[in-house]
Amino acid sequence: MYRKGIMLLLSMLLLAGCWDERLYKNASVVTLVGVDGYIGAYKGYYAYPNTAAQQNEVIEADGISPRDVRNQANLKVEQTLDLSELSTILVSDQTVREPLYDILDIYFRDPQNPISIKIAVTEGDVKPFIELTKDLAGGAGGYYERFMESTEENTIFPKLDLQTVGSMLFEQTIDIALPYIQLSEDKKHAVAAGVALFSGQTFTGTILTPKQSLTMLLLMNQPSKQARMSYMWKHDGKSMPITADVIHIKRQWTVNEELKRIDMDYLIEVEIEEFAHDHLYKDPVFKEVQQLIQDHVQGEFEEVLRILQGQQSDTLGIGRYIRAYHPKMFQKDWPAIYASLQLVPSVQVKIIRTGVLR
Amino acid sequence: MNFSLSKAQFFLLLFIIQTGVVYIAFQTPLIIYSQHSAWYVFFLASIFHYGLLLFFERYYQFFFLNGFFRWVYLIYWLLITAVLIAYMGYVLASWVLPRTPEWIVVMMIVGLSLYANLVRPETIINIGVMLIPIIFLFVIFLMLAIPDLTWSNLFPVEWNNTRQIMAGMIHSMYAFFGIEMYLLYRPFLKQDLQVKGKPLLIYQLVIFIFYFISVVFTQMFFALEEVQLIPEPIMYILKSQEVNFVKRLDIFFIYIWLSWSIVTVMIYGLSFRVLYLSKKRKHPKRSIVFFHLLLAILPLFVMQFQRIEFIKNSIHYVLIVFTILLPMMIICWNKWRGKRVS
Repeated sequence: MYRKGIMLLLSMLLLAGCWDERLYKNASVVTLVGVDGYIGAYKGYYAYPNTAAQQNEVIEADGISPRDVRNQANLKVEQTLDLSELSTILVSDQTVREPLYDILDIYFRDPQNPISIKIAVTEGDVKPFIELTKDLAGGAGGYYERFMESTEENTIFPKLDLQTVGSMLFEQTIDIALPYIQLSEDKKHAVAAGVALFSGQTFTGTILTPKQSLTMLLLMNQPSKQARMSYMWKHDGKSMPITADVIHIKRQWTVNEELKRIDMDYLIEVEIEEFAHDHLYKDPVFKEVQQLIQDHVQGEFEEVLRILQGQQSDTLGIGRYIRAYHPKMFQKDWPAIYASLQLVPSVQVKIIRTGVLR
Repeated sequence: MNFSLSKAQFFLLLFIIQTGVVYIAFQTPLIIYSQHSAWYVFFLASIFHYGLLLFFERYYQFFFLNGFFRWVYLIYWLLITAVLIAYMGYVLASWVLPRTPEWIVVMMIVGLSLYANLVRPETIINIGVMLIPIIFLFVIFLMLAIPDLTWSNLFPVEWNNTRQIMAGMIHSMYAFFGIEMYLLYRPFLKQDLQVKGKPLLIYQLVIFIFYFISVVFTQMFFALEEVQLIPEPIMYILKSQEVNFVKRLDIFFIYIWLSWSIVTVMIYGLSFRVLYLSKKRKHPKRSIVFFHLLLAILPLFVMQFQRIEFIKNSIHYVLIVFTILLPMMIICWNKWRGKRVS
């Protein structure tokens, strides 16, 4: 009797999972998704590898919602689309004028969708960005993923994935800045064009250039592997380029609740990576170069803060800081308060290394 | 029933009862109700928990259940176990087995519990040892999320907001799940063993740290507005981690949690067995089978979103009655009458 019972139980154990078996050989494994349009009239693009032809297939479909678009796309493929290997989502700059979460809900709700993936905003329609991956031998999503990761390492794009973006979309105290990409002139490559500023869940329409984006990331104290800044040094009627790489940043914010003023002190330690004039061992040259970089960075900090406040885009997370450590100053209508704050940056640059030359 | 417990077995049994099933989900209601103060409120709740343990240790001899209260607890455990199984089935259906019929999942869980409860009680008592390394893995993999944590989410703490603190304390009850079992199993501890003092404090510290990590991580990982949408935050944190050896870390841990929760169900079955057979019965095995038959049927009525939500939003009040108030009342009543557990 017991033996029979055990056998029955074991056979049930073997049965479990059959209903939920999903084999990659029976699916079109999508690695890149593109979204255009708005609620009620979305257009979606799905790129998946065609191993026989050694290239990527792109399927296009229309629908009233992102999920509906996928259903419509399934009607056009020989094997159902499977997004479990998705690595990048591209969204057009027009689409993100509407709340971003509307198109992301399906990725958070369905556990089969990965959430540690990249997301970027494209200049204009998504279609040409998806189509340029057609002839790639590797995965289409992998191309954009590698592209964004390398730009993150150069401190142009912030380090973000879908989960961190989703988390910030729900917070009033911090805004997102998503990677913004353009097509190259020959339309064959993607180009990092800076970051798209958001206020709440919607795109403000303002783009920070790569240089401004780097400055924003320095303000956020998030320098990545390389954070290079280049300036022209004018000396004795000659111009000479200087490139400095940020090594460390020390940041201190002092809040005056009554005046609604934040003094933002930054100490930036840099290494000189390019300076053909040399002779940095000479004190006057060293000090002049150091002062030049400091003045430029100071100006850039002021400019970027002005843009961020003007767009009510709190990408620095000043709201988070104020809510946590100065709760009396924090109010529900944070974006308006943020825009009216007096943000006073003060930058001190220190050259701590000069490479292997003096 | 005749068995005895060592200190390690006793505390392991308690640890699994308290943490199984609820560990992946109890953070959400706590954070919703106590907001940024959740970590501090949980700290206060843990002090209360320790006080309760000390009280139980001092007066456990007076937890004598007469016929009526014996049936009250038998029915309570039956219903609680059914709810736990329903929740396990629901979570499995949401995360990994959406197409598998729910009754198969329930049958598997109940079948394992039935098998374990038809053999010697030592099987259930010792099976928890198997879980120690995998529970440890759970915490280690949670640590992968450290770079994504936002420390400022822990502040501001509203020390004076008594309403928030009270609401948080009540919703911390999920962490006290099954603590009344202390009174049930304490008399089975080998007689020369001491629990009060250092052993009890160590147990309290272990369970506090284990739970506290999960509360703090959830608070720092999710925005307050976001956590309201996420019923199993620990699973979500694990899902968002990228590792080289597996695409979806959450599936790996769902099964760890499942095995951990199945042992909890087994222990509830053992508790039923211990209490029911504390009086001599004619057909003990038949009653155990009947108990499991009910466990296989009842959860099927609950495995729906709205019903699960209703239970999650109200079960803490039931817990207050059966894990705190009723044991205290029974202890006080028996102490006054001088009636002890033999």
